[in-house]
Amino acid sequence: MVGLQLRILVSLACGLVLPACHQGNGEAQGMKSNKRSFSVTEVHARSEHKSSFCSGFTLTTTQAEAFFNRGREIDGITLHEKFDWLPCYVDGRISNPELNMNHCPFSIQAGGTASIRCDGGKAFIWACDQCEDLLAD
Amino acid sequence: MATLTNGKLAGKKVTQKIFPKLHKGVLAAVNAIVVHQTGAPSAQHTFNSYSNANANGAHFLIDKNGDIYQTALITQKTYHVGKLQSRCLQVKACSPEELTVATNILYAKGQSFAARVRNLHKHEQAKPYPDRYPSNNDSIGIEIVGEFSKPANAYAQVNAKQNASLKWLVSELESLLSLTSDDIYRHPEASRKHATEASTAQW
Repeated sequence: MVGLQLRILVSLACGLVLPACHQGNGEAQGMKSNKRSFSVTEVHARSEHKSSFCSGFTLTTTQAEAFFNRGREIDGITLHEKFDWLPCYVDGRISNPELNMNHCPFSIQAGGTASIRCDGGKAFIWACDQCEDLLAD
Repeated sequence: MATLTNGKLAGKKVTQKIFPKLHKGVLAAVNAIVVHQTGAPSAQHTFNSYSNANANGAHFLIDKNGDIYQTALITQKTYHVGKLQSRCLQVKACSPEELTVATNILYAKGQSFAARVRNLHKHEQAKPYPDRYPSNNDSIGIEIVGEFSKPANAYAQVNAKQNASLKWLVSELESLLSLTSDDIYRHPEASRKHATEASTAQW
């Protein structure tokens, strides 16, 4: 009985208050339509960064996976109206079987969005507005 | 010749389609115009977004066929610009003192990129125009319907009909609001947006 009450309490807390719980159970708040099983297989900062503004921008594979898992797919209107574009990039390759992504090239830019371009012309714009901790130097 | 009355532009080429949810308070002065692209494939996509509770958008929209819609009153601010770039850094004209201040903000160690960009925006907003780029508080926006292509990672080309309408609209607004050609900006020039947005717009 106590165990059941505890599970209900944790479930309510995760559902209403604690975003970390959402990452743990594979869903980000308000983004339940997206799949959350991303696997980043390689990652590297873009070498041709023009300014020192970008020079410290790197991500590990774990951080890149966190970016995609916390984020969501967005459309062009949202990209235009809600997100900055900073010309600092981390590139890599990503897979997600549930979204038919197989080792697709991606590019995360420091303003909080990413492009994913797979074979056959399938492409995504991904965005994370809760990733400020990742997008730093 | 168009006329301007109570924030509405009246003219044969302009259809009124005001979305009150875009209005964010009184726009006391218009110092500039910012030219955008919507990121969407049709005008209707953008009109739908303008009906949302937290709608952001601009004062005019030019459809693919060249039709011009006024979507917000010129007497009202809308949120269309975003976080300002440093104008003097962009054009390499900062005073030595300002160069130090701006670069210290922009290159601050231990802060996220978003925080640095926010802080520089706040710093820029305190400057008078035209020492800074135009902001939501002193500019109007013109949206041109144009999709952002995911595979190409770029905005669509602005077509000839859209450019003809843009040229007419900018000319009318320059005349009515006492602006000059120096007061017209592409969105990525003023704030931090994709470099291809409105890059093929001509006025």
